Amino acid sequence: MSEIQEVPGAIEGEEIVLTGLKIAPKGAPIQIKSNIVFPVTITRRGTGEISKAYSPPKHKFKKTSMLNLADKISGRHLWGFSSSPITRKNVGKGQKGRSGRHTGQFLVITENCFAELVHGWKGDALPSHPKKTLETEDE
Amino acid sequence: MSDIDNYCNVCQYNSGSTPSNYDIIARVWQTSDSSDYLNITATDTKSFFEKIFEISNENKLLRATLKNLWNVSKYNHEYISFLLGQYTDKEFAILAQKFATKPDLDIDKNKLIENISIIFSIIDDESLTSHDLSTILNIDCSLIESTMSSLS
Repeated sequence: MSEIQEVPGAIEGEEIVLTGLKIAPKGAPIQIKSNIVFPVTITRRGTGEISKAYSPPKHKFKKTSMLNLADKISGRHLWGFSSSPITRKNVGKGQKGRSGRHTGQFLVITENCFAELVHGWKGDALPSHPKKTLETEDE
Repeated sequence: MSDIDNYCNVCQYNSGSTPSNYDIIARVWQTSDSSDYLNITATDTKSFFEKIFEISNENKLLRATLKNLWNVSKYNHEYISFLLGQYTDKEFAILAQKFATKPDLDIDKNKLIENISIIFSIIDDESLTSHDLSTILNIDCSLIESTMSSLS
């Protein structure tokens, strides 16, 4: 198992557990080749961990994704998707996502799943909020 | 008095000695109060048309955005119905297919930055993330991230 805390970092698997303080399905489904996937985003303290790896291991969305069981990404902002829609039974409170002031949330996505770091804990590849980046550009 | 006004005066009073390089667009009008002379205002053609293109581009972007958000809104209504148990998994899969979007992957980087600037000039909210922008603009989230990170 390995963990990535800075971009670029992505995981893929048959089942991924996402934890964080603000998890939300967002936007309409996305068409990728002949499949549709349902996007999800975590905008506060997100982690994603493969709880069931593809068998056999094979990249389906991004060639650089990690594929092994317990491979993990964590950071401030994550996004991803699964090929099955997110329902109430996929979502829970507490457990892994817990923090001192927040009960935390977790989400189990299944079938063909992908999660990617947008904003990591360290590194400076994608640290700026788009608005701030634009303001810097204007100066 | 602006440069253009000065330039107009030059045209009016010294019509035989206009500058060798110029490109202006002029408006000529007359009112009942000033029926004995013509009013003329002029501006540089390039900047005049740049403003028109800017408005036209913004209009195009807003129309596309409205369509995207309308699609998302309709999908969200169906999704809520699904979560409330009004659709089976199979029924929802068919519906979701109908609303699925193909994000634009071929957009020019400068165009994307321009579009994001317009969105931020309208929705001045720092909680707007790259994922939100990807929903609003129907552009791949990682493409937005990589474009924005190349600026920082």
